[in-house]
Amino acid sequence: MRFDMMQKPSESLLFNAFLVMFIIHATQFGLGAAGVQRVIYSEAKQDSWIAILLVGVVMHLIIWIMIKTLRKFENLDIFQIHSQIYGSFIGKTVNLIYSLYLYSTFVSIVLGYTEIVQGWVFTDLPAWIIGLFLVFITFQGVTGGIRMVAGVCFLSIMLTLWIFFFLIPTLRYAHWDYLFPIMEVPPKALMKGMLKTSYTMLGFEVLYCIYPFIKEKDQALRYAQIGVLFTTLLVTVLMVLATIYFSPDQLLRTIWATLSMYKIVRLPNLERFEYVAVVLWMLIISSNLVVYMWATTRGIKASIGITQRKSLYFLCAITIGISFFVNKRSVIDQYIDYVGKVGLWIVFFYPFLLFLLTLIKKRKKKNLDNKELNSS
Amino acid sequence: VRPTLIILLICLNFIFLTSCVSKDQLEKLSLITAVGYDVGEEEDKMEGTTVIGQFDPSQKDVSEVTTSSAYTSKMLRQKMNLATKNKMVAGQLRVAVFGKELGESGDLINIIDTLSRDPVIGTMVFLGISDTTAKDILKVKPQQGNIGYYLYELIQQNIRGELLLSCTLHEFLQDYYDPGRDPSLPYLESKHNKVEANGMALFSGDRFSGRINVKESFYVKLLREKFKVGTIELKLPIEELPEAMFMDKPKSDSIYLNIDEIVSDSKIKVKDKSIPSFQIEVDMEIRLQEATEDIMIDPKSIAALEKQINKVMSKEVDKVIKKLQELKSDPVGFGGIYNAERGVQLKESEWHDIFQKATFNIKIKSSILRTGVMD
Repeated sequence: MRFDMMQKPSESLLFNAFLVMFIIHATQFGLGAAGVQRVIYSEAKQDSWIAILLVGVVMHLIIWIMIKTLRKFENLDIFQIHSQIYGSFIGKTVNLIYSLYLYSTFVSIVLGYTEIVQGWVFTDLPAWIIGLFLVFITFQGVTGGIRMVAGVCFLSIMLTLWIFFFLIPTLRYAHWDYLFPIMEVPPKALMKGMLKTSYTMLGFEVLYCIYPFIKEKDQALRYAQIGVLFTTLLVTVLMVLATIYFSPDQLLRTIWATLSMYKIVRLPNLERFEYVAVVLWMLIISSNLVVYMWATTRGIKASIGITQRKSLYFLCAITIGISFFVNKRSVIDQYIDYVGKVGLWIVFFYPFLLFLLTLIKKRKKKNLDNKELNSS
Repeated sequence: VRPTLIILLICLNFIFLTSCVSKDQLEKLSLITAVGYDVGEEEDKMEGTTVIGQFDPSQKDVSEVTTSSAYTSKMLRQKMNLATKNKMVAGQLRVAVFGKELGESGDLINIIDTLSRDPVIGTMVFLGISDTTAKDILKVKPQQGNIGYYLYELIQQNIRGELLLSCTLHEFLQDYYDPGRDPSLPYLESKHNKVEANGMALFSGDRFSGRINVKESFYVKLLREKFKVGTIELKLPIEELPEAMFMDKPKSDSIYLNIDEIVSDSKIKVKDKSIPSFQIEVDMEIRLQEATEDIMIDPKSIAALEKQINKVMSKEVDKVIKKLQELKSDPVGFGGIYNAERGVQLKESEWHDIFQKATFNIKIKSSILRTGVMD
């Protein structure tokens, strides 16, 4: 079983552990943050922020489980772990399914962002042109390899973080009593709110794919936790801001609450800030796109054996095709919803199963080794 | 990857992408600065009025007012487009005015909803209710400039001067969709080719329910928000004040005070959830600048004045709240406070009935900090 894929990646491909924090946060934080508030609010009402914090706690636990699993294999990513656990054939099938999920997420981001651009700025810009743009960015990023991907994540955060400070003027219209009464929402609604929150929090599963490329593996856990913590806090702040800025029914009608909040920002020679926000959102999602596409091509390489570059060409072409043919809002929404639901299982529940299987596998192997020792 | 390739791609962008979106040249556009909506003459139809300004440096007075009627507000604009030389765009919209009749009919919210749906229109657009029709207001020709911008400035400076309650599109929707709070808009009147904001129009749910004057809206604001530079005129009965504080014998039996630079803070608490009853506490710091009688400025008479101001103001607040209850309108947001305390989400219609039964206990504490530069 010890073939070349299990080799440690060459030194020149490794990146520093602190970048994990940026990759995790950049992948988690994307399209959802533009308008997740009403989705969570529809279930958990004024306690939505509590639901988000609770999901944050769950995510820390999952990250811990993920790192525990990865440490058992040292230099392997999830695709190689799959082939070790399930064997060659089933492993390849599982890898293909996993890649399909990663690619579906990629497509959902492209479609979702297209919808924002068409809804807010250019109503008459054909969807495939926006798709072409996004694919072009992705192509550029992915061909640079993992270090480039990490760099895109770092830059996309550094270049966009400042726009959240422009939400401060919304406090002028804040009604803090919309947050009250606290803790009055029934537990069932809170649970549902947590489920809805998890859809936006997807993205930290890429830790499974980038792990072999981390230079200081012992620090990966710490930085991954920081990345997740930062996402949780930022989403919580966005949620609280939306809760106090919009009245209950108003929030439920606002599709992109974060972008709508930018509507009141006025700069001396820029009357409407939300246009800047929409455009900058492209930078925010560019990291999502690059990471997901990179992970997909890795998965395809592990399952079918096509080189990353070839599958990249192929997937880019397909994406443009999809953005050419799919442009109905209701269909897109349904699709994004569906991907989120599948993602919930793959991201939030699957790590536990994988960890369990790993334990069984390792124990078996130990027994086997012991037997061999005894018999010899 | 290769620099030449990247440069080539960038150049290609300039060639191909510039024609992706329809072009809008500023000189060839009619910028809508104000819109007005009224009930149409035919059933179900509404009448729209649009004020447009053209961006044309060569011409001086370029504002133009057009009217048309249709069933939907978007159709109104298309119909008006047929009657103008340039394409009409709404990105510069500043003010939307609604006729009183339309406000009473309850169709208002549909139009406002459409406005908020349009990403081109900002949420800082001011809304207003016309005493007669929106057309009457928008037909007024100000001395210079465009009535759209004029109205915008008029409303804005009065909000800053704290004479009117803020009335942006966002706040209207925020209040409208809040079950425990009702929206309010400035009440505009046109007199002798001039527009005047005369108090606030109150809403009960989606319907215009009545008007309060500037003085009454002062008290609404006192409860609802914080004052930073407020002004009000008060009438105090002379007999309640000690005689010693007057320099001369008072000429009439009441004294008028003008207090300004009001800095206020109000606290509203639910005292009894079952009735419900509210405890209102207002702290004010004020400056006394003008009085119709000569008064001594010493601690004793200041204290007496403060006491009287508190008493008169409490009475006024009580009167205003009674009026709000009568109009079934809650611009202060007592419902929100009640809701936050109660724990169960309030229903939209529920609050108006509960509000009418509510009782209020008002306590006002004012302190005169300054009396100007003369003693």
